[in-house]
Amino acid sequence: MGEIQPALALKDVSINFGGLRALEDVCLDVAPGERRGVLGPNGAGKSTLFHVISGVLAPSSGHVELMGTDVTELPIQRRISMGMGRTFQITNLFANLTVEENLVIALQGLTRTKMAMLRPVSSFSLLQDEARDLLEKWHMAEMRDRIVAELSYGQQRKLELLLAVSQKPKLLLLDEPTEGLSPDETKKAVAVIEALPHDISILLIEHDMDVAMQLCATLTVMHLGRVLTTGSKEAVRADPRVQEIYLGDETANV
Amino acid sequence: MSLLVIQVLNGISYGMLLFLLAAGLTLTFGLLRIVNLTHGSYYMLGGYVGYATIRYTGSFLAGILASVLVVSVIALAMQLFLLERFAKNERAQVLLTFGCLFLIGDLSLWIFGGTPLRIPTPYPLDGSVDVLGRPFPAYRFVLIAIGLLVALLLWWFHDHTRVGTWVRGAVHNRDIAQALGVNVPYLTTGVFVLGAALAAIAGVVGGPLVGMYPGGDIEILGLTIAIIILGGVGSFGGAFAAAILVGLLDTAGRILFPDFALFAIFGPMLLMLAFRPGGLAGQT
Amino acid sequence: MRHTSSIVFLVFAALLLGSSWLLSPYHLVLATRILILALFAMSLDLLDGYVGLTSLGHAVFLGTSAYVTGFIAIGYSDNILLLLGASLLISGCLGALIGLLVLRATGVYFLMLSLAVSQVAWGIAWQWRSLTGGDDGLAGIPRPSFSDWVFVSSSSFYRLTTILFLIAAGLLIRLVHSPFGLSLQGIRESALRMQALGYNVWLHKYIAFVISSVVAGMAGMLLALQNGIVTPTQLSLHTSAIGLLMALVGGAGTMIGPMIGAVVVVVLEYGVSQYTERWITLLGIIYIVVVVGAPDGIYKPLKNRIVQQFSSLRGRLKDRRWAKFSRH
Repeated sequence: MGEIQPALALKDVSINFGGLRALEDVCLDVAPGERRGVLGPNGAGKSTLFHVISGVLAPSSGHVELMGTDVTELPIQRRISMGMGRTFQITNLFANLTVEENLVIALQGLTRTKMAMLRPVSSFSLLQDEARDLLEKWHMAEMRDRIVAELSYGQQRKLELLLAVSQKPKLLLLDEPTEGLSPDETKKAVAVIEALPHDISILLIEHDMDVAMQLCATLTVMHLGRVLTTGSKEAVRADPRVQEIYLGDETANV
Repeated sequence: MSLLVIQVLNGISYGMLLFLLAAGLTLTFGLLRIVNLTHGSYYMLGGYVGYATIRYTGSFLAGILASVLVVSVIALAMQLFLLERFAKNERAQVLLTFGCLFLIGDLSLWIFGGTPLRIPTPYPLDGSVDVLGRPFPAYRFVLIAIGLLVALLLWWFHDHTRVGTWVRGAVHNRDIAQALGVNVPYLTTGVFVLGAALAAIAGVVGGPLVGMYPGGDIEILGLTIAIIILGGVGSFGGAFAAAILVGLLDTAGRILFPDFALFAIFGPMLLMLAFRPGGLAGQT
Repeated sequence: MRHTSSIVFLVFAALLLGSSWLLSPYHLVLATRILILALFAMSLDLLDGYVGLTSLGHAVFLGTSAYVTGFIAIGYSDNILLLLGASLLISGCLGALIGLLVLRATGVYFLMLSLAVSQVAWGIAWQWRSLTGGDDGLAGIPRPSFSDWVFVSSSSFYRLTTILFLIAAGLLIRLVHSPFGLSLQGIRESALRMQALGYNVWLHKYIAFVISSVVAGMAGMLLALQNGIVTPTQLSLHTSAIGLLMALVGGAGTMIGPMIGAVVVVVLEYGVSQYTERWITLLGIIYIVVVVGAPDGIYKPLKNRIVQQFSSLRGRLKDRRWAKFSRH
């Protein structure tokens, strides 16, 4: 009887900053293909959690396992090559390059092509075609040659998501993907995320409870660096402890 | 034994001079987050202006005042008209200080000529003092005293005054300090000019010891940067310790291996970087 | 469209080589100097404009290579291939070593580190009189030779420089347009994002650093051979600074910009200095003006203007051609 490895497993992950325990004994399992939401008021440690998972920060203790392999000691780029992808809460794109160039960088990132030094990028037709096709699919073809810094915030957020998805990750970490978006843009973003292939496991940090509920069947609620509870969205919604911590935080939409 | 003491005193007095410069650069770096490449120019220009003033007035004090005045005005102009325009663009700021380095350097060459100049040691400090049976220039003790005085004043200013608190806050986080009511642009300008003034004073006070010559601006800039790297960028205590250390290393180098004296200074700095990037102060 | 740039390059190459028979010896000497400095500036542009690392110590590669060239040419052989091989090898190894140290830092710290490193080299050259001649420099460097040819005349040396320049510049331009070059730009924009896309950022920076040091080394070799003398100045902040200046005035991140910058600097150095000794002051002023007024340098806005004019011209020509057809 084979046990299916969780896409992501966190085992007693803690991180200390000086005297501040930003994460304390966090245990988390995300099954392959699962959509898990991570909720919690400001300062709960959600982004820190993502940084530890992706490798931006090293935990003080505990382990991070990706598809069964311990990646705690591995640098960011190694984890990415193993099938992880992430977006950032504050849009992190190549501002002075064009949309197409941004995407090409993402597409070549996990291939040997990126080390090619003597042929121009334009001569790699497979790469170019893949980029154009993706831009078409995501309705971004018209802005192909536009400089990213000139795009609207919503379009940048979309590109941020596209870059991560284009690498065909097995585990996708989305850090507040609807942050700063108008209600209309939020609806579109949610539709895009929902349409993502269902063999990708998604771990989603969201401030907006409605969005989290729409996209995820299971939710993990964090508070002050600890996991408060993990359960189905109905269970979490009804949990009085969850209500309590959110009442103290004005920016949440419970 | 007495020879050793003399050499140590030589090293310490030179170190004190270097501290004046390192402190100024640390101040600037803390708030502007850039390395002011004109810092060495302020030193050299200060020395030249001091020299000219002393020649025509005979007063060392007037020399110091004049150099501080001239350099402060130039620094103020640089900050207000060039640097402040690019307040968030650090690269542009570095490049601008870069251009000014060339400008001030060449204009100094034009105005003061290419012959190395030395400021005469001011009377009555030009005598010698008996140290363990050997004569030792009294002026070097003055340098040590000045260095200690400046160190004390800076420490008091930084840790025990309101303005010092503002500076510490702004260094830690510009935006929060601004939000809390600190007028960061004014503060930045003030600190910038203060740093320049310190460099100018160093130029005059160091005049009898080192002198001014074309290329002196770049030389002292390199040395000062080595010191703040060695001491840990951003730390006054580190800068003080590193400056003294470098002063001693320089003296030792000149005596022990004159062919590689400069290496005696930069070598340890590179070693420090390789093994303890935070410098003597230990911060990263 | 791709072929346009190849054609432009070939025309450019032809012009450069052709001038060797058209220019006076004095102008050939200047042109040679421009090409050499342009190489140096391009090596800096690779680091600064494409990777985003501003180095104030790049002269260490130029100068060390110059000294090595001098030692070999005076003491052992003036064979150009040997000299070229040695200077490229030495500067590459130096780059590999120094890169390990300085690439631990970025931004301001990198700036300071690179400066400190070159100051060490400068200090060594200055004080080790027995080896380098100290302040007086290493003089008497002969012109290189290759079997029967000796590149003594200004035109033959110019041609040698042009060929080496075209090879190096051609390779560099290919590099910056390649996927590797695009990766470098990504690193400049956001190293964190690059890591999050699977790139080993340090490795990319390191490779670029070593390539940059090799190109600077080639420039150093040519400089030593042209001047016949090497002094510690070639290792000083002054030289690093002028190099950076050239890259920036022309326009960083373009590879063409540094060439323009080299022209500007040499013209000022030799042209202006006939009227005033204050060419450095002028350079400083121009530099400040460019940073304030045209922070992207001269090349990009100029290029956009030219491309715009060219495409509107093409448009008008096309219309006329179709008009001819439609009349029939």
